Amino acid sequence: MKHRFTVIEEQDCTVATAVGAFLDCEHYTYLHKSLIPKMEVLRVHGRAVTYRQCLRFLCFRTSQEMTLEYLPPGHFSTYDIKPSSWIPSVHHLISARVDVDYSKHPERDTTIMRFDCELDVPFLLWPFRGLLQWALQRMHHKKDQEDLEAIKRRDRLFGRGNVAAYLAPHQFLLHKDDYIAHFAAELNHDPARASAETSI
Amino acid sequence: MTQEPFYERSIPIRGLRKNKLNYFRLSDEVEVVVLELPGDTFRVLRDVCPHMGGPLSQGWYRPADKTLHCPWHGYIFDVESCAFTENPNEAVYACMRTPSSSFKPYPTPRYKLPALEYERNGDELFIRRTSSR
Repeated sequence: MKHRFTVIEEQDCTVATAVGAFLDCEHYTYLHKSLIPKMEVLRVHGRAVTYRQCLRFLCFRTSQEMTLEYLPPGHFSTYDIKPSSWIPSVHHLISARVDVDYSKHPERDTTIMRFDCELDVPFLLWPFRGLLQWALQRMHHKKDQEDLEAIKRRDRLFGRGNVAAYLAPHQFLLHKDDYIAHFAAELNHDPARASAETSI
Repeated sequence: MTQEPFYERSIPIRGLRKNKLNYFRLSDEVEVVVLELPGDTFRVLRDVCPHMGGPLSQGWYRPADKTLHCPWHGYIFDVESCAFTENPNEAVYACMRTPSSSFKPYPTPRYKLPALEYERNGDELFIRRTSSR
């Protein structure tokens, strides 16, 4: 039985910053270590990366495989979430798909974040769909708050919307070529000049 | 008007926790992390990771190899030389770190911990202002 819910929030940062933060995969198991203590890349296929990750969900520590796909400029889909071992986990009972979209607020220089989740819940767990929704929203909100605090600190230190650190030639980002292709004009970014300026 | 060469707020040595990151705010704009090193010396660092600005004070210090680990990306720095020594994410994403038009993994960036000079006066450390603040 399908249970769907949506969360829409305004985030006080530019879209380039929000998307860059999402693609900055090196922070996943450090800034978010209370949620994702461990991660491993299993497969890469185009803009989709399949991970095995250890996750803290409610009071459980669970291991899952999931695929995260980037659809430029600001859409991320998480799907094919399944247990990574035979050890019983919530993924044996429930399947989920999450879509996160970042777009520019029509009137302000902020970002609208839209979080769409679809859960496939067995009949016996249907009465608990509210609890599952609450737990997933709480987890996503915590991760978002950690990212936004980091963004706010960087805005204070380096200026609002400054993503120079992401654009540095030596900095690894998921799908960096696509990110720069979509945001370069907005960021006045010239890869050739950046490479020359930051060469050591 | 010339500015004092040192920050007004000093750091009490007796209050420093051994083998831990000690956080202090010297002014509205300057926060520091202080580490006690062997030989009765100290390392005073601005609380800003040179990689992306993370708060070093919220990271962790490994006294066994005198390394400081940033809380945002886990980057590892040698506290004595202040040099960046390792990015632990390189192994995790090794299969994806292919050079492209926008990603040039080499040479390795020469990040350095932002160390501040200090002078000791009895049981207090006075931190020298940098030229920008």
